[in-house]
Amino acid sequence: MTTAAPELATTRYLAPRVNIIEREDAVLLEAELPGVPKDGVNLEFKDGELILTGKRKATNGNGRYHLHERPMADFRRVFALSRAIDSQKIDANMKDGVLTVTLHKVEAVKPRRIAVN
Amino acid sequence: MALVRWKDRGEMSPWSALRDLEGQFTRLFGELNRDYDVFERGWAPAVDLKETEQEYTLEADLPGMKKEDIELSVVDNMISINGERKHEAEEKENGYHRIERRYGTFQRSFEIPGGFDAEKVNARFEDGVLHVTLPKREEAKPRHIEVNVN
Repeated sequence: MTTAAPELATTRYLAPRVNIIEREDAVLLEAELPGVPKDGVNLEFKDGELILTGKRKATNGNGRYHLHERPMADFRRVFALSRAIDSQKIDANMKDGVLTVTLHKVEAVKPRRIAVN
Repeated sequence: MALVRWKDRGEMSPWSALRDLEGQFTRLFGELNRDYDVFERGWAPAVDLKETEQEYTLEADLPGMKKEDIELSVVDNMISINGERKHEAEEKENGYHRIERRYGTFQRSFEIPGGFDAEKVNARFEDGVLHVTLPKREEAKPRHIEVNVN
């Protein structure tokens, strides 16, 4: 019996490649989303998770493929955020097919220099 | 049962089988590398190549690249894309939690069946995707000939 297969197929997403970099004051998330315009990306923060979703669409429909290596589908990735992230201070920027999300740390965990008098 | 060379206890560990396998893979890919050095260099962009009656279109995923770091070259019926994705050194002192993106140089070449008009090749880079249009030569385009039947 292969009845489960169609259900599985509907929940298959592209998972963009990411780099996650930690700075003193923030965590940076870079995701590769070539061919996805700014308005094709959805970022949601919910229950301590950052959810990245969207759709990658083909540009022009007609023609015969000689090579077809670029998958066009919905993408989705979920990232669990540590409590040290300030959920009110998340910035996102899209450039040349790379989404950069800056997740600022809460003030309490940032390193502080204390002057000695 | 086949005869197996005696191994001391160190070599009999579960890892030794993996090491053997690794050696075999290295040899296998080493041979492939002569023609196709993607495994060594690290990455190559995913590409779509499409044909219509008028032209070929080549699209390559190059997220995070700069226009000036991409080079296109044409020889006969071949078009090559090469370039380098640079890793910004700024993050050196920062910690990485995850690195999935690939960096370094790449090169890919494509033979266009039937050729194209090299003078009319056009390329643009948008949202991290390189779009190249390769118009067909006039003689390679399909022609509609009307036949009058008397």
